[in-house]
Amino acid sequence: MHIPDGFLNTATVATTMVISAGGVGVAARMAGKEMEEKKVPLMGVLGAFVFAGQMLNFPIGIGTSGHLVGAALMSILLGPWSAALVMSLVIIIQCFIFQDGGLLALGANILNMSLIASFSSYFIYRLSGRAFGHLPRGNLIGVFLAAWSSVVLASAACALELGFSGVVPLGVALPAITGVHALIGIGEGLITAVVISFVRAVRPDLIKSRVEMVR
Amino acid sequence: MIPSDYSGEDISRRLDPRAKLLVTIALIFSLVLLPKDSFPVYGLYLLLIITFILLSHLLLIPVLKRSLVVMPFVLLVAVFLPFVSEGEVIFQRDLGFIMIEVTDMGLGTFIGVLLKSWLSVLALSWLVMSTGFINLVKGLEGLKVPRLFTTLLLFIYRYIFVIFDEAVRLRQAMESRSFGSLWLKVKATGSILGVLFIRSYERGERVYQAMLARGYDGQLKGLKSNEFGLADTCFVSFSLVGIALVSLVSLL
Repeated sequence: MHIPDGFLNTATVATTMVISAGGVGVAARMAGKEMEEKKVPLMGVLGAFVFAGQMLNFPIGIGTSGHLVGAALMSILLGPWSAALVMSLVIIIQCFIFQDGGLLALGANILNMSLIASFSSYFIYRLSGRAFGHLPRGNLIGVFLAAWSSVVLASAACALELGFSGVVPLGVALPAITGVHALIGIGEGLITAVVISFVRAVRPDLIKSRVEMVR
Repeated sequence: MIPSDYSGEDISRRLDPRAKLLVTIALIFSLVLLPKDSFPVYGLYLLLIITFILLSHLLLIPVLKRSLVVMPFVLLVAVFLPFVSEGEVIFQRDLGFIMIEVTDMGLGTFIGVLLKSWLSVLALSWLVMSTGFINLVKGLEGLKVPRLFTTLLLFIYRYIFVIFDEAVRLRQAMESRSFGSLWLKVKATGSILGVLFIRSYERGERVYQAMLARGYDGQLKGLKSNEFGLADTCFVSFSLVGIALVSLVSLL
């Protein structure tokens, strides 16, 4: 889903850059509140965790493998602002170290995989908390839906950006890209649900959104 | 897996990272503006980037190799381009359930976009390999990227290797013990990610406390930034003129 340079036109590059720069700026300020203190080192190590987690491929059958994106996981564990900040930095590093995702496409990639993914998963998690209750099983359904929709919505945004840039007709790109990611999202949803249920069993105090629930 | 930092002493090391960042951004920006079908101009861009690479005393082959690593992923994004554009059909095949049509415009867009991406990746590879990540972050700071971001970038970079080693150890342990159905594998992967998260979180807290104990007050003391000297000004101006000339050719 990393958009390389050369796919987006100038208008899309500029628009997404402005939105992302603003969004990440606000996220940086809000993350400070979310993490209670200026825990820069903690955020840094967790960014490295997302990075390492993304490199752990797991088999999804028929000889292919997938990996975690992690926006929903971070959003549920740390809160959406911290998640958006950490994910944005991970995307920037991926661009510089692996050249995965373009330099001028950074705005679009941050918008899709960090801002949209973190916030959509957070809101869907909260909404489904109301729908299914906060008991373990209902809660895990919420986690699954949050992670699944974060992947699908991010890919839809990616398709829209490619469509607006005129590289592909929107009518083809949107269903094709979103359709593929509706499948990929299932893996993300399952893994995220397993990770959350594991953390909840071992260190329930680390789940930020759970602490809010108890309050 | 992670390409190691380039650590050599040469002309590009002496250039300010800001200068190289500015030139790279300008170059990729002009590539984005380029009409997709101006193929001869792509050759000129290639020459320009190769000049940068050779000026930096980097070996050409490793940089080219590195720029190709990410291309399969680019191809993945671009693979459906030839089939979906308007234009004259130049290839047609009925696969039974779907009719595949390749159009001339679609093929042109496909090749143009791939070349644009590859040249951008090549420029970025040159930037990173001739600068090194830490100097690059220094450059970003020099370009007024907020201190919080640059500090976090350095932190993440510092701990990627630590956490990744931990992840590899966990996965080895998992693979030597867990086998069976797909669901079991998903559960095992989820659990090791959970362990990895908890260990990372606890490590982060320990690092934070260790820093507090040494007088950390939420502000990292700044990196010493380089001087933007005459050589940098020359490099930036000559490069910008080069990029401008190359893009003017596309208008002819």
